[in-house]
Amino acid sequence: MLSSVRRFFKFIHWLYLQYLLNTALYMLEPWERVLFTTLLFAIISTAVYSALVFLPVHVRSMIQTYS
Amino acid sequence: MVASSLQAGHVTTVHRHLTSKFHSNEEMGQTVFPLIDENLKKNNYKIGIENNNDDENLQREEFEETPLYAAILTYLSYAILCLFGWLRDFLRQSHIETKRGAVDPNASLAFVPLYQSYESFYTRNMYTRVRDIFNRPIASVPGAQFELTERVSDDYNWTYRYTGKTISAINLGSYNYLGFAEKTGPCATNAINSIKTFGVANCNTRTEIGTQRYHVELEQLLADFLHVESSIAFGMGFATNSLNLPVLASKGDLILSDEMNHVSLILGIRLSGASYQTFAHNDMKDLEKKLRAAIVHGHPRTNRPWKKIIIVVEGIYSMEGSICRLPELIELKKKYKAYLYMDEAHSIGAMGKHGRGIVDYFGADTNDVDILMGTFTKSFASAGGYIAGKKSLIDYIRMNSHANTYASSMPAPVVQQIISSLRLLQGPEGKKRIYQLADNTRYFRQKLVDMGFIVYGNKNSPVVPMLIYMPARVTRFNREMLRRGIAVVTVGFPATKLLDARVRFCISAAHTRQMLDNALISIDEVGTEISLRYSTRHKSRRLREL
Repeated sequence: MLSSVRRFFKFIHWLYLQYLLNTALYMLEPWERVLFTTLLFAIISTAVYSALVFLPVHVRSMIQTYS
Repeated sequence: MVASSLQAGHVTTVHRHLTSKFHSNEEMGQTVFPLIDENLKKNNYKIGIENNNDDENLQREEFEETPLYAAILTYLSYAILCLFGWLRDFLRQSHIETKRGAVDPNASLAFVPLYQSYESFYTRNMYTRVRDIFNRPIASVPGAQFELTERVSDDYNWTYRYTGKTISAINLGSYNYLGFAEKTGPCATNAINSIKTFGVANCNTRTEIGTQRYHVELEQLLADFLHVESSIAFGMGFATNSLNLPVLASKGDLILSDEMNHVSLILGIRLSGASYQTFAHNDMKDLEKKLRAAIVHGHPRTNRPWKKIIIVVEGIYSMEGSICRLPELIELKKKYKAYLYMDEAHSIGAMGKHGRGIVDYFGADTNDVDILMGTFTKSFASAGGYIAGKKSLIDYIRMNSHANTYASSMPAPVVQQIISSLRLLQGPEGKKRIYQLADNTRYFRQKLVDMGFIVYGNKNSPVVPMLIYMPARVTRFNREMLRRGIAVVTVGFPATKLLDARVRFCISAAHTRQMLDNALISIDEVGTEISLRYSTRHKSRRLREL
C-alpha cells in the first residue's frame, strides 16, 4: 500500500521532470519557472473556461442554423 | 568494381562486389553480425580482430534520422530559452538587474557596440546558465579513472567557488585511446629521465640551434612506424594543420574539403588563399561530381585550369564517429589526378591491426595517400602533430613552414613520451592495447545500440557520439552521470548543429570491462529517467534484458 503511494509520487515527480526537460525550464532559475508555469496555466485555464462557457451555446446555435 | 547505395535514413554502405555473401543490398536494418557477437561474448581478442578484414564490416556506418518529436521539442526549448533571454536582457538593459557578463565600457559614449552578434546573446543567456557542465578543471592525470575538482556556484554559474575537494570519476571524455596517459610506467620514467638529460625547454626554434637528437629520432621512428619515407613533427596539432596547408596550397589551387572537417583544417584552407569547396560528408558521389566539374570548368570566371586539386579529409571525424572512405578516395584521386591530405588526429594508434591508422585499417598502400597528418595528443598521450609522406614533400615543408621556422621546438619530455609510446606500440604491449581498445569499442557500441540509443558512426571507431537532442536533457544527463561517478563530455550548439546536441564517449584501452559495465548501468538508468531511447530501428531495452 505504502509502496504504491510512493511509486505514484515517483511517477508524478518523473512527469514534472519531463515537463521541465522538454520545455527547457530545467535550465532556468526558479522565479523564471514560476513565471512560465503561471503564464502557461493562465492561458490554458482561459482556454478551458471559454470552452466550457461558450461551446454549448455555440454548438446549439450551429445545430439550429443547419437543421 | 565499386557500387555504393544511398538509402533513406542515411545508412550508407559500400559493397566491393555487387552480390555479398552475408546479406543483400536492402537488409541494412540489422546491425548484428552473429559471428562477431559470439566472439565478443567469448572475449577473445584474436578472433575478434581477424573478422575485421571484411569490406562490409569496415565501412558500415549508421546515421539515424532525427525523430520528429525530438526536433520539435528541441526547437521549442530553444524558443523558450530565447524568450527568457530577451526578458533577462531587457531587465539587464533597464538596470533592474546587474550586468554580470562582459560589459562594453564605451557603450554609454555612443560608440558602435562591441558585442552584438547572436553568439554573445547565446553565451549570456543559454551557455552561462549551464556552464558548470563544460570546462571542468581536473586534478589528476586523465587516465581511465581520474579526479575532478569540485566547484560550486551560488549565483547560477556566473562565478565559481572551489570547495577544495575532488570527485573521483570514470573518465569517458579524454582522448586516451591507448591508455598511455599514466604517471607511472616506462613512458613516464623515460620522460622524467629525459628532463634530467636535456632539461625542459630548448629556447629556440627548430631551424636555429633548436633541433636535438630526440627530434631526429622521433621523426625517423615515426617514418618507420608509418611505412613512409620521411616525417616532420611540430609542437601543436592545430598549428600543424593551420600553418602547413598554406605551404601546400596557394592561390590558383582548389581544395575540396569534407563538410565536417575540423576547424584547424578550415583555418588552414582559408589562410592558404586557395579556392575551396565543401562536399557532403563522406559522400563520394558528391565529391566525384565536384571533381569533374572542377576539372571541366576550371576557375570560376576565367576557366583556366586549376594548378592542383587537394582533397582534405579526416581519418575519424571526432563529432560523428565516422571513418573516411579511403578505398574510394584513392580510386577517385588516381582517376582525376588529385592529391589526398588525410588528417588522422583521432585514428593514428587507435585504428588498424598495428595501430597505423586508417591506411592500416583498410589495408591500403601508404604511397597512395600523399600527405598523412596526425597528432600526438590523442593516442600517444603527449602533445604535438606531424606530417608524413615522401621525402621531397617533407623537405619542402621543412624549408617553408612557419610552424618549423617560428615555433619553439618540442621539449624533451614531450618527445620522449611519444618515442616511448611508439616503441611500446610496436611491441607485444602495444598489440595488447590495440586489441583491448578494439574489444572495448565494439562491446560498448553494441550495448548502446542494443539498448535503443541513437549512436552515430562506424562500428569500429572509438569515438562514440550518442544523441540527446534537447539542451535541458543534455545538462541533466551530464549532471546525473557525474553524480554517479562518470565524467562525460557533452557538446551542444556551436560545436554541433542546433538540433544535434550529443554526448561523446571516448573509449580507452585503459578501461576495464568492469568500468564499461558501470558506465553502461549508469547510462541505462539516466537514459530511462530522461527518455533518451530515441531509436526506431532498434528496440529499446533495459540493460538487464540484454
